[in-house]
Amino acid sequence: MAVTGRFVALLALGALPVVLFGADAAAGATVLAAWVAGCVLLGVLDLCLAASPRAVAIERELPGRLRLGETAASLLFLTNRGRRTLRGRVRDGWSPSAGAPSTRAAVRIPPGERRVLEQALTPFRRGERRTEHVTIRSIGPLGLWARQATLNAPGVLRVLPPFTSRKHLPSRLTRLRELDGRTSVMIRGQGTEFDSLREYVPGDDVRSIDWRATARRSDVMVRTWRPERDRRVVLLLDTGRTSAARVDNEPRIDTAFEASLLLAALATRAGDRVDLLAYDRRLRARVQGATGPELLSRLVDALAPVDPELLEMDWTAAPGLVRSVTSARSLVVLLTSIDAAGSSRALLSVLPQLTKRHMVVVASVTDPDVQATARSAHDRESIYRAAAAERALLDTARVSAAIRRLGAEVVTAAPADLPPALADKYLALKAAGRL
Amino acid sequence: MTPPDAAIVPRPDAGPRAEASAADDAPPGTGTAVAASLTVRAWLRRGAFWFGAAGFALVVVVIAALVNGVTGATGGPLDADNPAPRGGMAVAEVLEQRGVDVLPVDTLDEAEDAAAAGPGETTLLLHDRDALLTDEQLQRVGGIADRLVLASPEFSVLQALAPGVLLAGSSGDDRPLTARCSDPAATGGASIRADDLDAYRVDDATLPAGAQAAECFPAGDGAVALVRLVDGDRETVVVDADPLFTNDQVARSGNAAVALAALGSRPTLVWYTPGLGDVEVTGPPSLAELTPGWVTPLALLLGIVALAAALWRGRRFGPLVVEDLPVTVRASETMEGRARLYQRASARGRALDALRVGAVSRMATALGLGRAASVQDVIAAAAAATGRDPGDVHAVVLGALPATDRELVTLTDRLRALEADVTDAVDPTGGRTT
Repeated sequence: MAVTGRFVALLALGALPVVLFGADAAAGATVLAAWVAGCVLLGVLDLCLAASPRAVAIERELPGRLRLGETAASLLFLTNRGRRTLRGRVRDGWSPSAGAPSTRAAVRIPPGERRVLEQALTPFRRGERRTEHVTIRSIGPLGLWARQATLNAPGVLRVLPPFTSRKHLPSRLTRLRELDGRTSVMIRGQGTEFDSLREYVPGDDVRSIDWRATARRSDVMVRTWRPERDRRVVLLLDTGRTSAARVDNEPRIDTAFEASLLLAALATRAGDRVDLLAYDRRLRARVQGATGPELLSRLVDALAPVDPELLEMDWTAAPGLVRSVTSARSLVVLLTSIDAAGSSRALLSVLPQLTKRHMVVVASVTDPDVQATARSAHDRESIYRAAAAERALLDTARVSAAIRRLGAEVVTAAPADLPPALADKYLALKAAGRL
Repeated sequence: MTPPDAAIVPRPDAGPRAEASAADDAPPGTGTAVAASLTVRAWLRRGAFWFGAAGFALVVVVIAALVNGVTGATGGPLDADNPAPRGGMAVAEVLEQRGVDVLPVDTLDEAEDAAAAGPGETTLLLHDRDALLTDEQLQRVGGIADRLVLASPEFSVLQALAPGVLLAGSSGDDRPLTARCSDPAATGGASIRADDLDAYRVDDATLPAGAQAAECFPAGDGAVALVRLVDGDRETVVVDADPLFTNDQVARSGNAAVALAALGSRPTLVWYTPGLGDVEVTGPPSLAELTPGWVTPLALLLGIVALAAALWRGRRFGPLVVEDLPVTVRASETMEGRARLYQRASARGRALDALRVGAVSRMATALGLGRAASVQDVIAAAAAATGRDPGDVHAVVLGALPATDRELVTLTDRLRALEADVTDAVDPTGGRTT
């Protein structure tokens, strides 16, 4: 039950008769009692005549998934199954981050009819945005009292990572094609594999002449090469506590998502197989065995609800996780943060196990703030800040050096630059045939 | 009601889904959404325990009130309708049973109305415990009845209605007083007994001429507990009725007999305890008299309107929606913390050390020296590239230790200048490399 502003106004209007006819206190009290009783009586009558808010059937139509930053239309179909016209207000219980401009609407539904409430949702947080219920306030014909009920009508909108780094994809794909074409004529080496034999044309590397084939045929034959294909790329995302830190107003984990999406898009075009694991002390997401366009859609789907956990990353499980994906030699990309020797000790202790079998790349976000602070030193306070920043950079450099000594590669960049930097590292490794 | 929100627009559903829906086939009232909020009946059922507990408590209170009597409505001491220990209900009830018409009143006007039978047929009990009556009013009281009983009178009452009788203080401890009355008709009993009983004294000098005073129940020192003045038709009894006639004391010794003799001799007893209605109003009229009659009901109405408005605005439109908020940690917090630590501890050497190591590694990169290059190599290369004195460069990069913050700032500036010079010398275009 609820009362409306009109009821309050009607009650307040009682001041007139009380003043006009309340010559003494007793008469005033009588008029007051009569007025209040009349108002309540009208309210009860109104309540009895209001349509039941429970006799409403609810259906939803939602797009199901959309990228962060996009806008989706949410349709809410309300069918009045009662015998009276439902007039009142409806509230759809979207969580604030679903980005509904307003969750309330006035409705008027005659009996047996249906109305649709259309709403443009612009979620501003990744993950699953939910609504659990719809609240209907059915106001009586006099507009004084209202019946109210909350109906279960769950709806889920999955908000996917934005993948803004896909703007870097075309240029990297071009480089990949160049790599493809160039290696067929120009490069041979450990990282390429034999493709076919063809006749020699001037300009070919004489070292690639296949003398045995030339002896069999009357023409000079050269071997052609192509970049390795069907390699495995395993992306391991650290969703532990350090991934919650914001660098450049973006959590590290979101940068890691961007980087892994770009790398996965590139690698799957290059013919490699990409698997992804998100882990802290529990497996948060796992994508395995998908290729092509399906891979990206499965990746964003799996990553959408993953949030940083306030747990320390358990690096000792990392070798086991990678082994559970593949036992073949593969490119293992660890998306984590390398800050200080202390917090990176666990990572350093398991790296040898990984580098023994796999090519390992550790990708980490660096804070451009720290770099800028290290350069600015003009007064006493800023000198201390610069010193602290230099110390932080030195720590990172030391950890990076330690990782390199253990046989892994390190990619560090600012949040906006990390995805292309990781893609470039992948291309470089591929060109060098180190996968 | 508020206008519909612009962003969420209801419209008739004319899409194909309208036909596809089961609404046309299903009879009204079926297929509706499951309500999360409780119906009134379910709400009552869920709160059954509390409603039951409240009902039980109410029943207990009612029963307790019935058993104990309505003790809450007690009056003052020696009121005819007060059953409390200090009340006077026992005496009043007994007098009623004996055929005396007991009329409790609390204003002078009522007392005059009650004594309609005439002064000769009426006894008036005056118990002015708060000394509310003025002399003028006391004179009026004297005219109501021929027979007055002044119960526990104050000085002013005695002065006006029983001149010649004076207050003689307390008779002290709780001991029986025997009658020894000069006029046996004045008392009904042989002895009285009450704790802290006030005594009176008759002053013959101020006694009106022709009046006779009978003194009973001497309490020693010439004081007595009861005085009976007879002046022609007028008869006045002065007695400390509170505590003598109160419910808890009246049954002791001969108290009851004295009470009945004093109060029950005439068919009508006006039991007059002056109240606030007798207080003469002086000064300007009070605020309550000046305000019109509708002010109080209007204030009440405003209160009700405020309550309704609170219900209107305070009624929640459905349950709260839960939002899991993300953790927000700025990554540079640790750096800031370390900077504050350096500053608080004045760790100049450590701070400058960090700056020097950073600068040296950047200069080494700029000068094309490998990772393995020592600091001395870098100093030599930097001096050669910039044309500075190697000793000077050594002091900036390695040697000088800052003793004060000023020296720290100076050294840092020199370090920055050296680094800039090296960068410029290596790359004349000014582009910096890290």
